[in-house]
Amino acid sequence: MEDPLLKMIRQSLLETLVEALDRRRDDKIDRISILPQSVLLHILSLLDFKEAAATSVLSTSWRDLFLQLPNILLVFDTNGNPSDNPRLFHIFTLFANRVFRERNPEASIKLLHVSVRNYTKRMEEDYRSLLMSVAAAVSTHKVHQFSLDLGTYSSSTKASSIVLPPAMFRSETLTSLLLTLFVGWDVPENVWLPNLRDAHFLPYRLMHENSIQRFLDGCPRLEKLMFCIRLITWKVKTKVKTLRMSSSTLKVLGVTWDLIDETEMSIAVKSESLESLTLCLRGGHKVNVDAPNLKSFDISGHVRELNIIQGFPSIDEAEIDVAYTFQASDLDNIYSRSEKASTFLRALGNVRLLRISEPIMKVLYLSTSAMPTFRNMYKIKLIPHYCDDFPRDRIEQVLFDLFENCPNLQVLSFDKINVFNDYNNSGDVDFEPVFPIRMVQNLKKLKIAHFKGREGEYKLVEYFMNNGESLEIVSVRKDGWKAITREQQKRILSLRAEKRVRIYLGKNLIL
Amino acid sequence: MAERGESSEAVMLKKTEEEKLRKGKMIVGDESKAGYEEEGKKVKLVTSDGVTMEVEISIVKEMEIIQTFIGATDTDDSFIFPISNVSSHILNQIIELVKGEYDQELAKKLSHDELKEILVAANYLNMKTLFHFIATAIANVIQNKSVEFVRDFFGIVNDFTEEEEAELRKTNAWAFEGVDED
Repeated sequence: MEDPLLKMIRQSLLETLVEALDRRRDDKIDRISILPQSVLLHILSLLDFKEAAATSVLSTSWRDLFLQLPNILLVFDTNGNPSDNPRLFHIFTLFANRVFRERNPEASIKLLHVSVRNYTKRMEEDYRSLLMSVAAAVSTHKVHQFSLDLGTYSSSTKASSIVLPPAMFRSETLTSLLLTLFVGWDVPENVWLPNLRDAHFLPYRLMHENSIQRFLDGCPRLEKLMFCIRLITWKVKTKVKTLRMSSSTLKVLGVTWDLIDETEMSIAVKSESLESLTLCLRGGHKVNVDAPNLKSFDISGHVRELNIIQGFPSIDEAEIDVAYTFQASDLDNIYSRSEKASTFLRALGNVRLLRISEPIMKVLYLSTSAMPTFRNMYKIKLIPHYCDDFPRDRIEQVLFDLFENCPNLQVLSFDKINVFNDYNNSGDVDFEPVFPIRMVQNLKKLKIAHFKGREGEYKLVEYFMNNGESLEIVSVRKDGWKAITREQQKRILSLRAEKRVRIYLGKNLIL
Repeated sequence: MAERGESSEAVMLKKTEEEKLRKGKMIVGDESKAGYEEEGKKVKLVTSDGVTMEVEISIVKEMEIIQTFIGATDTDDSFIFPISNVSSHILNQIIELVKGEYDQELAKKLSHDELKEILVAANYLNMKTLFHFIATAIANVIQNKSVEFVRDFFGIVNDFTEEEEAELRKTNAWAFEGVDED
């Protein structure tokens, strides 16, 4: 008969021993293999997708682990012998197909990125197979962001355009789409991307007049669209000269049309919810904008005509770097454009912040209408381009009119002060014809970027220092990292007439 | 067991909330002093090999699993937290890494076993920054390495048949292009 106490002690000792052994064994066994899959996936997510895929042969439990990664990046960009590319591309395509085939379609793909460089004709069959399986994945797997980059496709092949599988444009889950296609392609019929928020087509070749509208119609929640119509290859020819866009959801739209195939091109934008519009145009476009809730409007390049249908009552900022004189047929034509430019400026009546360059001033000078009053204008920035081919005094007269009609202007900013290059060598500098004295007296802040240390720049600072009764800040900066020299510092400081004016030189220096 | 653990944790959490409220009232008007007092404070941790270590509160704060309990008790010197999954050697390494502000140079000095142990510990202690840091260090080690190297690193036993592995290498051939067999 065993003593119960002794039994208890022995039991307890045994337990301790077992526990200790357990612990020792725990330390010896590779605990990484009992880590949760989420931990291993985190490590895999830090590797290239290709490397993560190589872990599939480690053991059966790793076989399909990489298929759970939320981001799938399939990049074909080899640096080896080009003659080997077709073979490599073949195994690349097989691999991509396996990933889509074996991945659980219910597990969402956060980002699907497919990039193919180094295309050659011999890769064509696999290329089509890849596009088909990628499109199928977009439409049947829960892909959220999709990016397709077919780099130099067209340079080495006769094909000037490709047909993207329509399935690529049918997804319930897609929120973001980025197509970087250096080849002609067209928006298919029956686009259905009900959750798409933003789309970028860079570059883009407009194949048909209604391509973009067809896309918009299939994206009932699209908020942002950017595309860039530019030369992809000489082989792609289109005769499209009209682009109409209408959307009830679009908030941000950016269009670059940097290609002159046709004359008399036109762009029409209509959107109730549009808040930001950027147009970079080359060639003589006629532009109609119907966006009554627009807050920000940037236009650069050339226009023949710019019509604002309902005005911009909520406009906050605008950048006007646009010439109206492109392809003008005769003087009458110029005069009619100048009236239209003036009308356009009136539509910006509520703007608070204006960045403006000189080309538009050529036609504004000719306009018979009065300069509108900009009651809210708080800041004006003068930006390049500058006009060397037009009499300086006429540009100055337009500037004077503009400044005089901004009764609440507080900040005047110069981005590259080439405007007063004329004064470089003359000792006689007269700023009075440019800056109305009342505007100078009310100004609180003068900013000069890209300071070059020219005589005209010092004279300008001096003029505002001497006459700016409300001036509080003068800020002078050089290009990027360059610092103002000590000599220049001294010279600028010597111009300070009132102690209250703070001088900012470069990034951190405040005097 | 798990259930009991959870419920006691829930009680702790509730206590934490109460404590916060109470402390919130206490330190009104004298926040700077409260912050100063906490600065030099240390917390006692007992490691898996039975060593009691005093660790600065700033480091313990990154251990979310312990953080849950800290507010719940008046962390006087007598209170001791057991961390049964972490050895004193690994805890020392962790302290070094946190103090060294997660310098990848420090990670390069760690052995493969230490890297793995720290990863397990970071996961257990729920130290998010450390976890990401170590996972990145491990990814750097196994990057561009052969299958054998990675198996060896993780201590993985290959349970594929030769045929299965060959088949998998064939379908995933792209993944093995340009990998150094070292």
